[in-house]
Amino acid sequence: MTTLSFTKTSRFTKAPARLGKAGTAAAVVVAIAVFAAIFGPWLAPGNPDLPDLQIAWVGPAAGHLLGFDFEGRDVLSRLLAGAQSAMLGPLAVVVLAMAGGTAFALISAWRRGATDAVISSGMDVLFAFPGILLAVLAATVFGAGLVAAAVALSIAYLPYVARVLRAAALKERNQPYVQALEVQGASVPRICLTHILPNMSRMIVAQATVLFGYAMVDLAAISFLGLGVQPPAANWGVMISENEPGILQGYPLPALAAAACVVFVVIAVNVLGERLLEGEGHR
Amino acid sequence: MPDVLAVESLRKEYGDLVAVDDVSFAIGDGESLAIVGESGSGKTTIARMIIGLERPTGGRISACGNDRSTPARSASKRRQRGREVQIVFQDPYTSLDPRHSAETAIDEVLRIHHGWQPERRQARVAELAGLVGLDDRQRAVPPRSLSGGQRQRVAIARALAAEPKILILDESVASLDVSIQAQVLNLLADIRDATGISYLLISHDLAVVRQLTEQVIVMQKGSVVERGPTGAVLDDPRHPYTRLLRESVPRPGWQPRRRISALPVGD
Amino acid sequence: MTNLLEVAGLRVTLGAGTVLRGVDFAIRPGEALGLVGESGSGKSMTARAIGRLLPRGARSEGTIAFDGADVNKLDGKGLRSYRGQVAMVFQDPRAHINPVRRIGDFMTEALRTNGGVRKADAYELAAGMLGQVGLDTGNLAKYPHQLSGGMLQRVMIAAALLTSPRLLLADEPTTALDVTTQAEVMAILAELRRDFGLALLFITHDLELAAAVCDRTAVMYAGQVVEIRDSALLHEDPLHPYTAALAAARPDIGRTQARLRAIPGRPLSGFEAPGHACAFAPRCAHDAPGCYAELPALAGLDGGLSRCLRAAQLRGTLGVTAGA
Repeated sequence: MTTLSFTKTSRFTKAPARLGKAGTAAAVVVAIAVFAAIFGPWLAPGNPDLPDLQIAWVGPAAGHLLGFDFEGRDVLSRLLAGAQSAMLGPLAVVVLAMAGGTAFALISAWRRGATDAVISSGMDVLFAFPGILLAVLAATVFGAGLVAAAVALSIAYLPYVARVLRAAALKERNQPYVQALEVQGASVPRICLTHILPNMSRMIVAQATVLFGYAMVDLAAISFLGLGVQPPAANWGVMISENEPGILQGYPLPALAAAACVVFVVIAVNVLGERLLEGEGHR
Repeated sequence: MPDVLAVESLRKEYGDLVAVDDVSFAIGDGESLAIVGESGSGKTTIARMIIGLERPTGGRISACGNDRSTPARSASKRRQRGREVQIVFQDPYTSLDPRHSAETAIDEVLRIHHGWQPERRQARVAELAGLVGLDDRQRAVPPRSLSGGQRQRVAIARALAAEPKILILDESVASLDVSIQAQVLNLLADIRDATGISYLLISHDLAVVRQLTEQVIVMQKGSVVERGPTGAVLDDPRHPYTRLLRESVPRPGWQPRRRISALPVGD
Repeated sequence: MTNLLEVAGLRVTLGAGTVLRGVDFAIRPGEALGLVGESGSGKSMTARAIGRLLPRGARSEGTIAFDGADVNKLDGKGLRSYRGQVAMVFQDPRAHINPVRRIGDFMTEALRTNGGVRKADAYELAAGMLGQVGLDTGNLAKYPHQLSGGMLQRVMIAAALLTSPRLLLADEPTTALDVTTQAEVMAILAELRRDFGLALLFITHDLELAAAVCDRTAVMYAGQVVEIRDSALLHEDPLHPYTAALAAARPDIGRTQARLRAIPGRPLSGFEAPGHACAFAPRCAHDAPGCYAELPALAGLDGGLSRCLRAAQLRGTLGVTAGA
């Protein structure tokens, strides 16, 4: 008598996406950023928070690869320390926006008809609010800070996620295998969670990475405006704004280094997302 | 013993279009009936109304003595209906979740309907897989590693897991190669012998209908135009449409004739 | 009479696998040849090879000769002329027509761009051809979504005939159609063939259909032609066990059988077939040890061709009347 097992081996992912050279490079960059976000404060060679105006704007020197910022703090250390909030903020936005957007997408796709129409109209209304505007509103109402900014951005991104995922959810929902389960009398949550959602997983992950890039730029901009993370906390967006005067004074490195971090991570995350999406569509 | 399926004056409208018009039939215990027609005949719509994927505009449907003319209110009612009537769809490539093996799919159905222990479920999965002729390898691999015929076997096993009294076969063998179609038709006959299940066969293929069913109704544009024992209707069709269907089947010496002759140019 | 189309020793490889392992047949001018096979038999790939529509990365060996000229060596003017003489019709008309252009534009495009025909003349020709297939000229102004599948397939046939081809390659043209529409389309094809002297390569999975409408029928299995026979003799006196098994596996509209005579196993594709044995032997009811040791060649027998080592021995025992 053969023994059967119904463990994970019976569930399968679709054929894996190929990363290619660009994708692998992007994955490496993202990995470094994640590593820095987790271990940054301990990796920092110097103290990211201790000002010493005597050495403000001093260029790269031994042990201080990127020099010092406008308050004499080691730029490299500050970048590493700032990685945490720079990465966590977008992560929070992505988690909230994806969770909310996916939920709405599934409900829309499952119920179709009037429910779908109402949700889609609601999403269209939300679309009208740009993320930064909502963040400014949140800052005026709740005070400046990362949490308010992140929540505001999640609300702004939610309709985008809902719209994109609604199409994928509808496609799965209309498949005969879902209908076969309906006919079996399977409960709606069961069908959505064990069947529809997993078959959308690649799309969801790909969208999440793209969203991460947007969130990072938007949050950096919000911090740059002074509405997000507050100085003297380390954060790449804050660093750009703090050290901006240095660019015109002939000390561009601190500001540009922070900007470069944002740019590289956003590009890497976007490329990774695109690579993952490319695998989508193979059955 | 009540009919396993009874359909009375069934009607379906889509706006102005009448897809199904006053259709009635019944299937007794252990009997098999075919609904024959071409596209637009309404045969698939009837199947979907019986199985609950579409809602009738009028008429009554009852299976195993229970009325199912309106959608089920509760989850337990839906499960109950799932144990009365099941369906195997036409396309083997979309009727299975691409992420689940046959074992997982069949096990899931068992879990929906019964609160059994894993060992008992495993045993039943093995039984069903064996019944439809799936070997150990075929049970455990994802659908993309299976051929069309093998996937249909999985779909049949999954449908049978609910132990329905009647199985709707909606063009279930139409996409299969001829040699595989023969295997699956034989399998369906074997299953019927073993379990006494009834079949409602939706098909455009008259030869398949002859092989599998003893009663047939012929539909054209939503209405029943002829009905009777399969052999009698196919050997001696009365209605002009049935005759036309019969004439359109290729056979040695067949001379297809045009109904619409060439039109003159420049009208 | 020289052959219009001659295919000899055609082998096609795609990537690491061989899709066609040996296709040989000839079509005379005005003749209809059926090409029958199940999944993986290679029948569609054969049509594409003849139409020079092989996918990228596919390599072919052997010869395809149209009117004596090697098709694979044609280019430029020669190729354009070839495409005017060999037209193709596919299974799903909707996939092969641009949905945002009108029928008239679609039909006249080739005439106007390649043939240099004036717009008014091209439209007149198209209208005439539509009439031949039983469609009203008003359809020229319609869009594809306004026509049914059967009507659209008739449009495709009309469009294919506008260049006055000498050979029509039809790849499962009626498989997606209702059976009554199929009969209509087959009747139209038969009439047009008579009127225009058109040769036809008719590809299908339906043995009965091919045998009923074609003069001769070729059967393919696992990338090879295994039998070519006059259609009239195909059911009574097939020369290859696979043909006989295929015919026997079909349910009979005239009677209910206790069990169908199914072929055990599943159809092999060219990729999977062994190189040095008969591909069908494991499923064959008449197999002998010799069948597993040698790849049979396509050999003549009684006016037909068969790729079976035991063909001569099995002669007369395979047909439906013989109760094999």
